[in-house]
Amino acid sequence: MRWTVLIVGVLVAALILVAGCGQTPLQQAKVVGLTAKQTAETAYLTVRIEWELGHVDDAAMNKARSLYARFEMAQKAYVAAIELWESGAPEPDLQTLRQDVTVLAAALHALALDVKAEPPPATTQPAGKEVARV
Amino acid sequence: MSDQVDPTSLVLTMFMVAFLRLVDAMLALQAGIPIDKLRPRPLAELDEEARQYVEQIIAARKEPLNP
Repeated sequence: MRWTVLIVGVLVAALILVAGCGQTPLQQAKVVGLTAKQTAETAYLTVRIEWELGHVDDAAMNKARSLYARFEMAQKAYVAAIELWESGAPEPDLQTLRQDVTVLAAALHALALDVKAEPPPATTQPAGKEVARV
Repeated sequence: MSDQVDPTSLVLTMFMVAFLRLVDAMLALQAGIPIDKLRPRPLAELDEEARQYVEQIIAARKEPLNP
């Protein structure tokens, strides 16, 4: 039993070391970018699917489209900065770019949550979406 | 040799397998995320994916439960 506790303790300590101390700032920046990208895309897809199904009005869809377009531009700038950094350039000041992508991804996420929380409108079915009435 | 399995050994083995898998995943992550994975997908591509997803939902609804 004493050996078991010892082995488990050593393994947990090793895990914490691997998890906490291994990431360089470049890797951390990439993880932030990847998380923001996945959040924004998932949120946009949620709104878009709800819109296709007729559960969301055009105003919310337009807002999601506008937010995603802004996110796309911000993310491209963020990725370009990381790419330069990775190719050997000095570490860029990513604070503003990181803030842009995370704020826009969070706004899209909040919009998707709003859309999921609201009941489907009974009378505001968007025109021309036969697919939604099936 | 006994056929009995020591529960402590079993739990420890399971824990070690899970631990090694976790370490493997973390090392893979630390080996580096390819920069292309960070690039945002264009709106048109996402719209098309959503449309296909909705088509699948509608097709699934049309399928009878007991064919």
